[in-house]
Amino acid sequence: MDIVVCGAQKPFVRGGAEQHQENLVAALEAAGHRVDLVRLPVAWEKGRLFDSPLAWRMVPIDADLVIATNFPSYFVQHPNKVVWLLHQHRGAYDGFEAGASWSDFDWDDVSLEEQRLMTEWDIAALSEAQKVFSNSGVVSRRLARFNGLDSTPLAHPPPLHDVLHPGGFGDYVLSVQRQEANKRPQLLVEAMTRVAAPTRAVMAGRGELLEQLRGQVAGAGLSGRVELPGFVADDELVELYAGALAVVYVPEDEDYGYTTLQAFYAGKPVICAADSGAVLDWVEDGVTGLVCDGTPDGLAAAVRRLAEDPGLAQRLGAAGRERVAGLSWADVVARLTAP
Amino acid sequence: MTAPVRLAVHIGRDVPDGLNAVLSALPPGVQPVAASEREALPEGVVAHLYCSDVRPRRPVAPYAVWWMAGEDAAPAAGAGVPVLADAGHGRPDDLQVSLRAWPEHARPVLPFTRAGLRRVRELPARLVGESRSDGVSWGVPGEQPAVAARDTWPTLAALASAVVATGEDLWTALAWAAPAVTDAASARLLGLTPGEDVLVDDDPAVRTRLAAGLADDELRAAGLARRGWQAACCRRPAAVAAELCRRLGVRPPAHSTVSGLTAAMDELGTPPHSLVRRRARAATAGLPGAVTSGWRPDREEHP
Repeated sequence: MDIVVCGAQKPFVRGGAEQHQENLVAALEAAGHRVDLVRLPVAWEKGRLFDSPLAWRMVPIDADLVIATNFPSYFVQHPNKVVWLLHQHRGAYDGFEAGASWSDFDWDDVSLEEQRLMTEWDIAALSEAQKVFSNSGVVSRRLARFNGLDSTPLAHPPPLHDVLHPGGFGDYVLSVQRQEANKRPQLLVEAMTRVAAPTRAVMAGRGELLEQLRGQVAGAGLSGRVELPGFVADDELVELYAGALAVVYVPEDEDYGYTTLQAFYAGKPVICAADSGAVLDWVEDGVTGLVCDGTPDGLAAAVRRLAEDPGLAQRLGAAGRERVAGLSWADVVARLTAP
Repeated sequence: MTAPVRLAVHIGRDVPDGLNAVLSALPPGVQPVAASEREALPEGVVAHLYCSDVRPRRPVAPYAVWWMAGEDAAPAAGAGVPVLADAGHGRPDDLQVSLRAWPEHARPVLPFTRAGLRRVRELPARLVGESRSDGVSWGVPGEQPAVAARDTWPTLAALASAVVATGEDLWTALAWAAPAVTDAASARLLGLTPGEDVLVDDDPAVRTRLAAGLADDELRAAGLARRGWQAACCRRPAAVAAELCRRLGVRPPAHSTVSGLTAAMDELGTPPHSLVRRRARAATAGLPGAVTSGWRPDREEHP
């Protein structure tokens, strides 16, 4: 088949959604399809909210199948449209509800009318699709609660899944993420002030909070015990996963989160927070990881527990590895392209 | 010049109530033409619509059947044959037509948005509206409801966590995407599926309790609100005409006068004075026809 994968991108920003779209293209090509990836820019602020959806509405796509991914690419019109929803415009929905700093919706009539219209447009565009999948239970629940729409969660393997491998259980916990507010990296830094040496933390990844975090580490006297190396190359990252005691991932209401799955492929337990969203689709407290209360004290207690009992870390990590054993891109492709 | 795309319509002695409205709402570029087996077909016919009392033994494909109200036996809908019917007379999968007027200014307001509207107006977080033959009331479930003027019903339909209504007031509630509870007769008359589009019970006290339950269950309320609203929308003649064309594979000629940004925004339900219409117009001001290719002479353009 000739398949067009549609995705939105904020210029100069690259994250999980862009990786996801490119991996999907590769998997479709591996299955013998001819595939192109079409992206249009998106702006998130309220005043320009509807511009990009409208642009997608007018984009002519000639293909046998269109697979739309993130907001607002699913506004594309095509008789054979399948949606694999990574996220909607979160600022108009859960971010608005939570009063998140990254949502510019306020409790006033203008915001509510924009939000209402966004809801109506989303229902119209998503109802046109032959099938609607989501990338996680969290995204499906949001779609059901805000738009009254049904969807089927469809999980996929993360990047590096084919090279990640188990190893020893070292003296450090690992965090792999962009250092940004919604990932709450400062929680781990604060938690480490409550964890005794020799347990260390390695926090891989760049982001707008990186320098601020480095300052926080120095200020807390944690230099040497908390490393913030910034960008880490893939081969080094694989070995960091392999040697970790556990992986810490405590984002706020994550849509999917590759870190959790990568940790499981490496046989490591994941410490997350009770409000970490789709991470909880995978992390079951005491089974595949530990779920803390999202406070520095709670996170520190979870780290200490695994540091004091590496056997527990090993058991939880093994269960996590078993949990992801069934994931495959071939299955994803089969379900997305099924007639 | 582009050849017309025609739908041949085969009618017997009786004309279905909704037929004229549906044919009037066919997409621009698709013309209905009267046809019979005894006469040659006009040029450009691409599909047929038969009233069930004149359907021949071997209809010409592609075709649809309008199930006449007087006929008891439903047409045996073959694979891919659309069946139309007046609302209340069809089966769940049929294209049912309602001639009820769509409430002016109605917009779908799903539970999250209506909760926000109540919040900014300092109304109760849980609020149920009820329409009965003796009047309209509203209040917090479990407390004594307040009586309201009948003409406040659209406002309640837009703001309440859930509503109890029958007849015309149910139609209004669905147009505002209110999670609704009704009786079996009203659900049947509008061709609604109980448990999917609306909750149904014939005992008024039970209906009140069901609405109170919906006020506490945002997830279920959202599903009902969306499905009830879409079910009502689907009964409108223009929606039936569009769906009929889609199922029959009837496509308007390319370069139809209705294309461009205006049509795209209309299809998404954009209100006439919304900001995005102004932005689209401003963005394309230097590109003649980008917006106005969808302009319709019978409608005011929105500055």
